[in-house]
This record gives sequence, C-alpha cells and structure tokens, in this order.
Amino acid sequence: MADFLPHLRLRHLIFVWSRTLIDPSIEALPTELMIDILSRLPMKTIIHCKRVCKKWRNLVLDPSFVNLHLSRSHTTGLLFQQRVFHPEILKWVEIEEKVDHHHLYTMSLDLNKVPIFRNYAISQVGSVNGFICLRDYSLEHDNTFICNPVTREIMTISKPQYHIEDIAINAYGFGVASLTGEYKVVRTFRRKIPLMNGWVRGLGSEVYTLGTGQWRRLGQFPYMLNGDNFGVVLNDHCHWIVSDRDAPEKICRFDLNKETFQLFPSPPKTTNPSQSLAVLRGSLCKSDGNGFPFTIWVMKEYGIKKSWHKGVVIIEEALNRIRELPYYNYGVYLIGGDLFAFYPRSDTIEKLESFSWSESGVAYRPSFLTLQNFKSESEMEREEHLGSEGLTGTKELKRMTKKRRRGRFRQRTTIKEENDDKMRERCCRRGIFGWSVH
Amino acid sequence: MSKKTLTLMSKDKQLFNIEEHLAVQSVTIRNMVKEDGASSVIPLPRVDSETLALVIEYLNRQQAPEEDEDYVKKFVDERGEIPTLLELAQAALDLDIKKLMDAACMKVADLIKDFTLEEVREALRIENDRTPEEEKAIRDEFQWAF
Repeated sequence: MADFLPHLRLRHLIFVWSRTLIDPSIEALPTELMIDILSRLPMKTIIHCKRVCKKWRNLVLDPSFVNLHLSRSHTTGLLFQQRVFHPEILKWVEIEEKVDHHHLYTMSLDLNKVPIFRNYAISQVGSVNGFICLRDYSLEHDNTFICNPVTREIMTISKPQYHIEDIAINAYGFGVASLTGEYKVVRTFRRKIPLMNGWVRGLGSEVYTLGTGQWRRLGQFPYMLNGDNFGVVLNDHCHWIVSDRDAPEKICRFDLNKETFQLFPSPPKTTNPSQSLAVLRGSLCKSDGNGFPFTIWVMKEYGIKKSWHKGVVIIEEALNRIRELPYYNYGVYLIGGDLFAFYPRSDTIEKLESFSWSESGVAYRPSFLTLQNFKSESEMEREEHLGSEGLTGTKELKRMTKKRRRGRFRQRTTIKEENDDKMRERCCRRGIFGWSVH
Repeated sequence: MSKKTLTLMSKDKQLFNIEEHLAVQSVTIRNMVKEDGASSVIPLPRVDSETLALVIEYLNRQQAPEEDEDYVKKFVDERGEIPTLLELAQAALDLDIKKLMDAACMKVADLIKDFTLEEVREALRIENDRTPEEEKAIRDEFQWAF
C-alpha cells in the first residue's frame, strides 16, 4: 500500500481508506514521508542508510527523492590531491557545525583503483550538481570523464573534434545551463600551424553537451586563459583568469546558455602571478598571492566592477588579519593545502585541517543524479560502473572534534610586506576555493 | 453570521469539531469542502485521536504570520518523541498541511541523523529485509562510503 501512496490524489486516498482501514502501527511509513525524511539527512547518513534495507536503496534511486535531495543538498568541498609517482586522490570534506565545536568528515577516493583511470594523468575540471568532471592531461590520451561517486557511475565522453597532437589545451570548464538544464564541458586551446612550427595566437574552443555524443566547435577567443585553474561557475557562466598582459580585463567568462566568451570586470591589476577564482556565498572571489599576505577580493554585486573590494587579507599562517567581509556567516578556504574556516561575526579564522599535497579543490554539492540520464549514444558503451572493484580504495571516515579557539587568531594591526619565500614554498599552485556552510 | 464548524473523525471513531476557516489550512479538507460542502463527518481513518488532537491544536493556533515559522518549530520541538512526530508527519501528509509536515520531518531527521543502522531501523519501523550474509556483502562493497 505504502508504495503507491504518493501516486494517488489524497482525497481519493481518504475515499479508499474509509473502506479499507489500515493500522499505521503495523504498516510501514508512506514512501513520500520516507523520502522527505531521508532527503533531510546529512549525506554521510543517507549513504549509511542505503544499507538499512532494500527498500531504502531503491528509494534513493527514485527521481522524486533525487530531486528533493538535490534541492536540500548542502555544498561541501572536494579536494584533489596529486602527487608525483602517487595516485590521485579525491578527498571529500564535509563540515558540520555544532554549538561549540565542529565535526570535520573526510572521505577519500583513490582514483588509481578505478580501472579506467589507470595509466592516465587525471586532473579535476569542475563539479556541478554532484557530477565531477575529470580529464586526462597526458599527451597520448585526450579523455574527459564525468563521474558521480555517490551513484558510483562514470562515463568517458566522446573524443573531441581536434586531435591532441594538433592543439595545446588552454582551459577547461564544466557547468550546467539553467535555461535548458544541459550539462556542458567547454575547453579552449591553441592550434598548431604546421608550416611555421608555431602556434596560432587566436584561441579555438569547443563545447560538449552531455548526452549529445559530440563536441561542437565554437568561435575563436583572442585571449590566453590561466589554464592552471578550471572554470569557476556562477550565474550560468564559467569564469577564468585571463593571463594575457594586454587584455583590458583579467577575467573571462563563458555563457553556458549562449555559448559565447566575453571579458568580465576584474579587480585592480596585480603583478602577482598566482591568482585564482572561487565562489563563496554566491559571490565571485579572486585570490592574489602564493604565500602571505594572501588577499581575497570579493565581487559584491555580480558584474559590477566597482563592487570588487578587498575581503580578507591574511598576513601569516597563524596570525591572521581579517578585513571586512560582513555578509558571510562562515566561509571555508583552501589555501596551500590548509583548510581554513572564517567566522566573520567574531572576525576570526581557524585552521581546520592540513591536507598535504592538496593541489586544488572545488565546491561539491553531492547528489544522487544518475548518469543514466545521458544514456543516448556511443558514450554509454564506454560507461563503466564503479563496482566493488571500482572505487573501493581507501576509505577514511575521519571524525574530528575540535574546540574552536576563536581568540587565538585575533587580528594584528600590521600587514607584512610582500611575499615571504618560505611561505610561498608551502603554498599550492592553485590558490583558493571556497564554500559556505549554512 | 455564525462560523461554520466541521467534524473530523479519528481512526478510533472520536469526533473533533473545528471551525471551517481553520480546518481549510489542510489542502485535503479544503478540496473536500469545495467539492461537496463536506456537510457530514470527515473520516480520517489513519489518524488516531491523540494525533488528531495535536493537529487540531496546531490548526487552532492564533499566531501572526511572521511568528508562524517559530511557532511550528517550537510546536514539534515540544513533541520530541520520534513515534509521535512520525504520526504527526503522517497526519500532516494525509491532510496536506505542508508547514507542519516539513517541521515534523525536519525534527525526525535531526533526531536520527547520528543513529546507528539498527536504531534507524527501529525508529522508522523498517524491517530488516537483508540476511546477515547480504549485509556483510554490502558492507564490503561500501568500503568506500561515497
């Protein structure tokens, strides 16, 4: 009975019930109620609950659960660890705020344990709605993968139009176009000119819509992007830092709906070569600095150049100075492998955890969305489910409880001049990413 | 003009009166009233009298709209027992009272989120439909808990 409850209109139900009396103490809860409760649980609990009974395992595949859960899913962090001669590891970090402390949950996925990733050099492209886009950056292959570690699915998307021998990849991005609901991978590249043995300055670009089975060529975009950073998605646009010196603005965005590139207002110019973008509490942020001082710029109003302002300036690792950042409750930053939480109300920053070799991170909103939705053409032939032989690698569920020491990192008044080389060494190439905890 | 009163009947055949303009916060009742005037007794064969009394207490609240969120939160907080909350959530689902259902489900989720597997089963009246062998196989399979 409970299984078909949500499919009937309620007044019909009452009609039915008046004839067949059901005792709720014996009967299982209605599916709709189960779905509602389940979708409100933290991700780790839901995954845990899949084991509770077969019914729940099927429940998490139900589209009504998947959509309800996504609408309630909180953003967490996904760190990508890359080491020379070591496997790539994805590390999922969820922070649960309690009254006087926080729990930090981390879980690791060893990508080397996944058969199709073996022998590839994998890097992260981005994540949206629980899907993670990865690419193989080795010269022999030119593969792009979409993966959902929660549903344990992975697929290789079709080969691009241009061959890797003829091009040099510049920048990658992954996002969803809200008008159509289409998931898109976009990349820019330079092309070789065979006769001159050089590169064309103008950049080519191509886009892949999940489910269509082929890359489409887009127009040229005349500026070099900072390819170390994958595109940061906000407001239906994918953003990169422009590395060309003569570009009037230092940020470029790609419209995921219209599929066009465009320069975008950037904060005041900096000579610092290490810059990165992030989205924090709905605002585009840009970091300057490879070590300390480390500055985070915030674009308060999207698209308004004047709204860029200095958010956070961190001068040293342990003694931090925070400047105005009034409208965040709680932000999390990854700086050089160290994860910081920032509490604007008390104007304090706290180091949550040090992840050695964390090169990059993305905000990750776990979901139960299935890649089966893109089951259309040839790509599915190459789909492999992450079975028990798949991502079974290292599991590490770490539960950390730390007392917050809010006073410890109280602000100091002097800002240290320029970068400290020693600090610089300790920092990663790819700067920050951030997410907010609600 | 006197206010119209509706009569609701619980599973155990107890009758409850409630003014119509308050009862129609329930979308289910509103639709019934619209369709046939619901002059007779409205049977609620899945809701026991204790739960129905709670629902009626909620429907009879005299809160200003801006305090409503806090009220419903407090209302479920005061009934912090999981079985009571589940009954309440189920009644709210049947009667289509969204706010009450949301609050009750949220409270249940809050209470069970740190439970063990066995406790979750018990709290949500789920039968274990797996054999110990199956359970072990699944545990092995889910060694990475993503």
